[in-house]
Amino acid sequence: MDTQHREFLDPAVLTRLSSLPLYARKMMMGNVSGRHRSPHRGSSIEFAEYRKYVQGDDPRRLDWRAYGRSDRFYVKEFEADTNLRLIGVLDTSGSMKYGANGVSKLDYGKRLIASLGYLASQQGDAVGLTCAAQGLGVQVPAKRNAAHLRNVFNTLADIKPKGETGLVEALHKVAEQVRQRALIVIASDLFVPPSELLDCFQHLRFRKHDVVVFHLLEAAELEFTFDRPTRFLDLEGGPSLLVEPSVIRREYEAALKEYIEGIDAAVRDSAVDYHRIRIEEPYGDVLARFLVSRTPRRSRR
Amino acid sequence: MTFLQPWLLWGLPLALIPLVIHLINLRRHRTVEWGAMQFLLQATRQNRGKTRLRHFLIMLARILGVAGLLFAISRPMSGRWFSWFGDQPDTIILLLDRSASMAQQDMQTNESKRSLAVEQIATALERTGEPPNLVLIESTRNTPQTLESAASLREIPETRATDADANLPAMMQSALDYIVSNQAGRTDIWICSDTQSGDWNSEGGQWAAIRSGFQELKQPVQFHLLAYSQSAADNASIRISELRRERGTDTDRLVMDIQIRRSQADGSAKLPVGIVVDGARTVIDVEMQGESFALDDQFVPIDKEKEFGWGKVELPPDVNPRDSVFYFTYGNDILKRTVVVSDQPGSAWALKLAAAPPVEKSTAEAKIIRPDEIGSIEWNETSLIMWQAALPPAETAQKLEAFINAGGQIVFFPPQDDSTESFQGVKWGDWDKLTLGPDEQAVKDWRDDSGLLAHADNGSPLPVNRIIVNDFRRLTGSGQVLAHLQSGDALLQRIPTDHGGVYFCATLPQQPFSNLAQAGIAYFVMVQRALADGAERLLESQFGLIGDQLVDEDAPAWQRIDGWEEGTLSSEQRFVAGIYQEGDRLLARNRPSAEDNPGTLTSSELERLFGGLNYRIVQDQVEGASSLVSEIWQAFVLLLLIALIVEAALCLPDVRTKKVVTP
Repeated sequence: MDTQHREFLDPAVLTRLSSLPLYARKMMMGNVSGRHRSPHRGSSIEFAEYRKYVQGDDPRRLDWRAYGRSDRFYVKEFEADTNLRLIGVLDTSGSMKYGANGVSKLDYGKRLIASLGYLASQQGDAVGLTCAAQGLGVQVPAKRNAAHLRNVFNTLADIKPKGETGLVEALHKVAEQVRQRALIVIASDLFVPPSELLDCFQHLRFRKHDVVVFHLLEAAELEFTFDRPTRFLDLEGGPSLLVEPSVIRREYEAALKEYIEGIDAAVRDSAVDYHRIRIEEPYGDVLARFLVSRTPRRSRR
Repeated sequence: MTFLQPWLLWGLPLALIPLVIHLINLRRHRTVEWGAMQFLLQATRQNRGKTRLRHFLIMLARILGVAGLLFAISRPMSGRWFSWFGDQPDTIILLLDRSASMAQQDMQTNESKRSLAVEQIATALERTGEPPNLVLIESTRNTPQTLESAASLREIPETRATDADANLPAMMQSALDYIVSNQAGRTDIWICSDTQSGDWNSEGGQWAAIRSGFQELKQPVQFHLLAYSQSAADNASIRISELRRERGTDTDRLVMDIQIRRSQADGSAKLPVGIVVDGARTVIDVEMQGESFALDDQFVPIDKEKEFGWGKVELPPDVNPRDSVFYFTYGNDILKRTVVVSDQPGSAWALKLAAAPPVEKSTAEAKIIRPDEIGSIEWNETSLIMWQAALPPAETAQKLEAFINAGGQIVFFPPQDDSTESFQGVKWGDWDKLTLGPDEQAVKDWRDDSGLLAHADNGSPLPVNRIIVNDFRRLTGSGQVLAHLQSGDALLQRIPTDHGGVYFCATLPQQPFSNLAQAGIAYFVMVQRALADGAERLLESQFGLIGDQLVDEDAPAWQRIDGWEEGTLSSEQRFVAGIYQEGDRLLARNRPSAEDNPGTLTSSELERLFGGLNYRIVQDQVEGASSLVSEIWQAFVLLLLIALIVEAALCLPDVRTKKVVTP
């Protein structure tokens, strides 16, 4: 049992969230039975459809009442429940180091993915991890045992923000490498061109993955609240800039607006589950809202 | 632009405080590790245009605001007269046109062009600080006069009104001479004039020399012309062109030709012309059409027994009262007096006979005196001196030159004795005999277009070719030769003078020297012409024009009995119109005829006159004249306010658009 203290795991939050199951919006193709719908017919109590009897079908599955009404042989089929693969994609570029009140965007992303991984693992789902940074291709494949979850946590604990973002490459890579349907949870500041993101999202959607995006932003990035000359050091290693914030505030806001509109268009076109997050907000609330939003309206059991 | 508190301008660097604060602010920047660099880079790229300009304007407005405040509290003075940021010159030379035309005034304030110019200049100098040297060159004397203060301009008689004309080229030359002789430093020459064409003589050849003289000066000279070129809309002038006394059986008549001129050519005007003779006033109403009007042969009866008297013709006072009156004197017929000075009185009969022919009721009179009797000459009443003796020594020569300057005429004839003295650069040489070939005339050529030997009025030539010269005396010295002998020597030579006339005749009229006396006509005409020229000055004294040399005009004993009040000052009365009396002698003074000419120089003519010089022309007018200098701190306060408003407007926060980012 993993007794190591993890900064990105808060037991109180996990306890509060444990009553909220994690559902996928799409059908999953797991190996074992689970909470998630499968595209295949199975043995759950959820009626799926009637099918004509064909040779080879088990006669025990014939619906005699239907035969009595129609004088034809029908087989009654039920939904199959399966588990899912949760692949956390965490942006570990330098820009994720930015944050406030001692919490960086990377820390926030770790908490989101670790918590969701824990919850998924608790309901029998497989959990994997991909770190998106240029030249830093850490990948932990999805597995569903507890030892593997510890491995994922260890990897998260070791991640340091560095270099330029490799999110686009990482997402394409995930889309190619994860062959079966999976829940892809992306935690990033998405500082890449929206058009490239759109390609990634559509690629993932093509591979029938359920994509969740947590867009992590800090208040200063959104409102540019600086009021005196400031030298901005690029966390991703680019050149620094000495600017008078009041001089460029209008242009900054215009650029941000243009970017946000691009992101909105990309997520709208690709139909991903997009959540724009201010990292000042407690991540427990964010996850609770997220889990509730994915709960099916009608009870499944 | 000058400042009443210029020491405050040392604070001008404070205007850079906004810039310094900005730079300090930039240096005290904080450093932030930042992730969203893409937005910063994009914003910086887009910021190169309007926003950068906006912030530059904000900075400029702040700097201008502080500078405007500093300028305002420094109490700047400026005006049409001064160039911005002009420094105070070392010397200011004021050329003041005091001519009669400068008396044009504003009917409401009674301020004339001259008085306004003086007041403007005095006020300007008092406000801006007086230069180390303030020099006045006024138009009557054309001599530099150093002033102690600008305030004295209002008080000294040399800035008061006159009826003289002005000679701007001479004033400019005088200013140039002053600068050269006094090694003046940076000099400003301020010219106050109405730019009347006659006073400026823009076609005169001396302007080129004056321009080049100023251009060659090492020190910078700035010209400021305060021009009152605006002519009066409704001004009329009056003068007498001819005046004579006609004898009658019971009373005499004073007959005069009056000329009236007005500035307005359109329409008709009814002018009451007042004629005052010995205090008795007569008014004639004149219906005037056009610009000028001649009232010829207007007569006024006078007492037959009255030997002399005075009078004036006048118009109602208008915008220029000084050209609305004209003074005159009258007397008996003028006697043309000739004095023959000869060291051989016995042989001078031919000279006397030509000057005063023995006819009944002759108006010519001649007498023969010896050179040592020169003190007996009545200079004021003599028209012609015929000098046939050794050229006068220096003391006597001075008297003769004064006589010439007063309009008198002198004809020198060769003495038979030696003569070593010279007169106006001309000396007598040796006697010589004129030898002629067959059919040769004594006089080779002569000036028949002008001068003493000119053709008669009907164009007939004088019989100069009949003159026979046997002996003649050579002349040394330059002059205008009016007649050459066959030998090439001068028979008659004129010495150039400003006034009067000086002639040298190389032979004597009687035999055996020549046949001038016997041949008669040419000789007689020559002498009578000289006599007539000499008598003309006495005629002019009926209505003497200022500027012409008048009889005893420097004598302080003349008393004003009518005319402008400036004439009470002995130093000024030479230039002031009026009637003056000394004993039983009367003298009339009037403005020169050119002063009635309303023509002024055009801008292009002024530009031509000052071409190549550093000059400014400020047009002023007597009506509604504004000060040449004034405090302009209000303008800088306005600048400050504008700068603050602009700065505030540019700094207004943008109207926030709806937040595009939702959590």
